[in-house]
Amino acid sequence: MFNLWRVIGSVTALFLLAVPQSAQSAQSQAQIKAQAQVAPPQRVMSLNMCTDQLLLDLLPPSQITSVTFLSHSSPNAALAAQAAQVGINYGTAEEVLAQNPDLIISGDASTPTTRAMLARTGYRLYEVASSDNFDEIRQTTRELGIVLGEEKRAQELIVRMDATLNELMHSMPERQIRVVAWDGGGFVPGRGLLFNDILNVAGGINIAAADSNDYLVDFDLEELLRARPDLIAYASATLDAPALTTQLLQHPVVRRLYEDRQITYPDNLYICGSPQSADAAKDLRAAMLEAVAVMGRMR
Amino acid sequence: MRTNIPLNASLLVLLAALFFFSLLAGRVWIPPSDALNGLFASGSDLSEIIIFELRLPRAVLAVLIGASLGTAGAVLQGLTRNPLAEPFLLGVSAGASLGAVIAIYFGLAAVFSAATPLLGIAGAFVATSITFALGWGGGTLALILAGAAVSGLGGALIALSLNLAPNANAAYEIMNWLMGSLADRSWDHVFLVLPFVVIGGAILITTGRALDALSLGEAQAQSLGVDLLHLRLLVLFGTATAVGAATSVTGVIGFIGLVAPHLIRPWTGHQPSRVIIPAALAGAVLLLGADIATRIIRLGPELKLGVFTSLIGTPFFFWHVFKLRKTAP
Repeated sequence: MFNLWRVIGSVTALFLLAVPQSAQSAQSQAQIKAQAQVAPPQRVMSLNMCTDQLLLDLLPPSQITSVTFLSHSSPNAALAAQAAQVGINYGTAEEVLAQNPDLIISGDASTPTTRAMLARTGYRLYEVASSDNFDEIRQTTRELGIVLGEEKRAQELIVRMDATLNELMHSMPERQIRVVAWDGGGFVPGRGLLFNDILNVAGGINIAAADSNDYLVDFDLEELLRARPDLIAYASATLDAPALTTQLLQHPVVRRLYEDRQITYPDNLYICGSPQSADAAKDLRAAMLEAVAVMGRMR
Repeated sequence: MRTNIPLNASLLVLLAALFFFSLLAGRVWIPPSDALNGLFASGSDLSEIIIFELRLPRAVLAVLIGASLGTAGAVLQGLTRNPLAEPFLLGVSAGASLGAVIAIYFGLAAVFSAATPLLGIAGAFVATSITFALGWGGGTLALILAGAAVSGLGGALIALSLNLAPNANAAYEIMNWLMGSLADRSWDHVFLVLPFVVIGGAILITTGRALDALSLGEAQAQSLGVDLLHLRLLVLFGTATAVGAATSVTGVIGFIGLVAPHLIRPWTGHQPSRVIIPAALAGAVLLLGADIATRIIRLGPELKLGVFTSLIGTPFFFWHVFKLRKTAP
């Protein structure tokens, strides 16, 4: 109960993002098959930032009616460029009526009133569970591929992702790099979040996760100092605009001890699991190795 | 100004004990002997860093801010001759939060660090002026209503600024921040608020004599040579400076200003000048104690200081309202 509250609290601000609920798949295999038996959709609309990315990767722009405003203004330039080729929506039911899609893709937790309304009006709606690790990314991508009639494309994306992951697995640093994703706000990503899987593949270990499987772990400054991570990782999106956390990052102790031992990561890629998450891991590996080389303590 | 030496001395002893105890409270256990060493050495050892750079500034801030709130509460209660006056209920904290929120989310704080306390003070000043202007002369009810109206307006404007803030996480963050906390504050924060708290506190303390005269009634005070407008402006400036700066660092912490003066009145009587200093000490004791409690009571994440003081202060507030109802004509 309490964990759920934490999770809800921490993602309240991430409007339209899926709450990382448990790994339960939103729909059974039979439902997916049933969805796919209809002719491949031609006007698809995505109501969730995470499904935007998947949809843009799986379908040509001509078959996508709109994606969310969040992707249109994403700090991830590649995503914003892809989104610019299709229409925009703010996740409201009115837009659904106006744009009249033949398939709506949404998360399984975001915009609940819109989804309830759509269920009543008989629109075809497919809910995608959020992916908290690479296994779930494979499953989600494959299932969405079936629904969109793009199984081959989905398989290509998965193969490409697995190739990148393999390459990373076979070139692990000699020693795991001990990392805490610190944002000064009191919570850090735990073992349950995609961050953890990406970090492990990149050759790091999330020392804040300890042995709890929580999504977020309660971790304060004293614990950070005691844990002595090799690196602290900041989510770059929180650094874009002024915020309280950017002030707390500047706690003189953190600044003094970790000035040369910090990396930033684009957290929008870590919130939404997609085949591109493997590239995020690759970038993270490079950033960590560079930071560690600067420290001159590891290879 | 007459002082109650035994009372002040006992409060100081209590404060010193709590101060030392607060150095032991935290996630990482540090033995008392190491804690004492950490007080005097800012080395690179883990325990020294935690004591000197995390827990010590936090304790100092609790004392400074608790004392500011206690002083402001005592002075506001004296000035308004209203037992329910205090910075939180009069909208001072809401105004200060609004100023701080604007400074933080629109980048002013990043440009120069004193922007947060300065805008906090400005917000507190405006809010207090409105409350006084609306509520003056209408008795207890009008003043509290004016305070509630100003708090409501402050809250609405905070929501508006967050709505417009360029950072997507602003709403979540500030919800957290508004609950009030001293977690992870540093010496930077101490030095940022220290001048304002000292100046504001000093201004408030000088009003003691005039408040004594005012307790006889406005006409009587004027006949004794008290310039009422001057007095109100002093209280306004003093409260806004001390509480505005304090709020900009901690977020909203309510009810310390209400409770502290009432707690010590059994020993001091009701003469404002005799209440102010003990109320400052009691405020410091209360806030430091509350901050220790937030670190010791473990229900998962650290309790927020402002939530804790509100939980303790609200029953007190209820009790006072009942008392007023009984004595009201």
